[in-house]
Amino acid sequence: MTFTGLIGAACWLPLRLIIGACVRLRIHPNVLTFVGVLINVAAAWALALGRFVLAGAIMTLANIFDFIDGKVATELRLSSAFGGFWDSVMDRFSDISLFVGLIYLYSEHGRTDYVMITALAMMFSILTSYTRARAESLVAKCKVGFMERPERIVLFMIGAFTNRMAAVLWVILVLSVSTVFARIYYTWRALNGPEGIAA
Amino acid sequence: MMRPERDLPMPFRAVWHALYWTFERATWQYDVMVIAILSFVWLTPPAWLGDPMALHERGFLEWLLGW
Repeated sequence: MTFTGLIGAACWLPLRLIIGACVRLRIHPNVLTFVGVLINVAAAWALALGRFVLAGAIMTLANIFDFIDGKVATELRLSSAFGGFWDSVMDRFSDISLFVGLIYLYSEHGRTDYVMITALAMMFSILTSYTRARAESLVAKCKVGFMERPERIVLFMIGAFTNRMAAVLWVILVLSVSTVFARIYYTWRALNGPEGIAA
Repeated sequence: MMRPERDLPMPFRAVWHALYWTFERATWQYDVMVIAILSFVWLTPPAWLGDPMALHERGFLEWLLGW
């Protein structure tokens, strides 16, 4: 087993207990999604104040809600097209909130360079989701590129807990740019290339 | 089937695969990428990046090499 697989397996047990509790309480998954967003806004507030460890702790809590909503929906047989749409929109709201918190922080410190880096990382993070959504209306699947939402969230938490947010923003920016261009290239190849992998 | 990366020599092919990522999570390629990212995040001295929140902190590399 790989070490990232091992970490995933270790996290799965406590999450399984939380999912079980939510199922027993019959909490609607859309409510879990919304609570996750509200907690993420609190994390963004902590980032804006430069309180990174607190922000990391709040982000961890928020992302538990983020992770379990789909699983609870499946177990309660409440999965729906609207639930998927709601989840995607709320995910974007959470992502943007965190970036806005950092933009506020760096502008308070008069650091235009990091305001720009954060703004560009935010732009390409949104484009990462948009390119996939748009591509999958044209081709069957477009899952190329490394920097998806789970990777971004874990990196945010690592940056917050270890006070290495600048390095994390550079990683998110570079890999989000490569993900967006990989998705554009993949879609072009699927639609126009000789492989003909379009749906 | 057109796969331009197949004609690239090894170091360039690795860069291609890192940028045009097609591997699943929990594969050895994913582990390598995660190790590379964490090394960059934790080993790069914050001053090199002009980190506004950690400018006066020593990076792990600086601590290790006694800079």
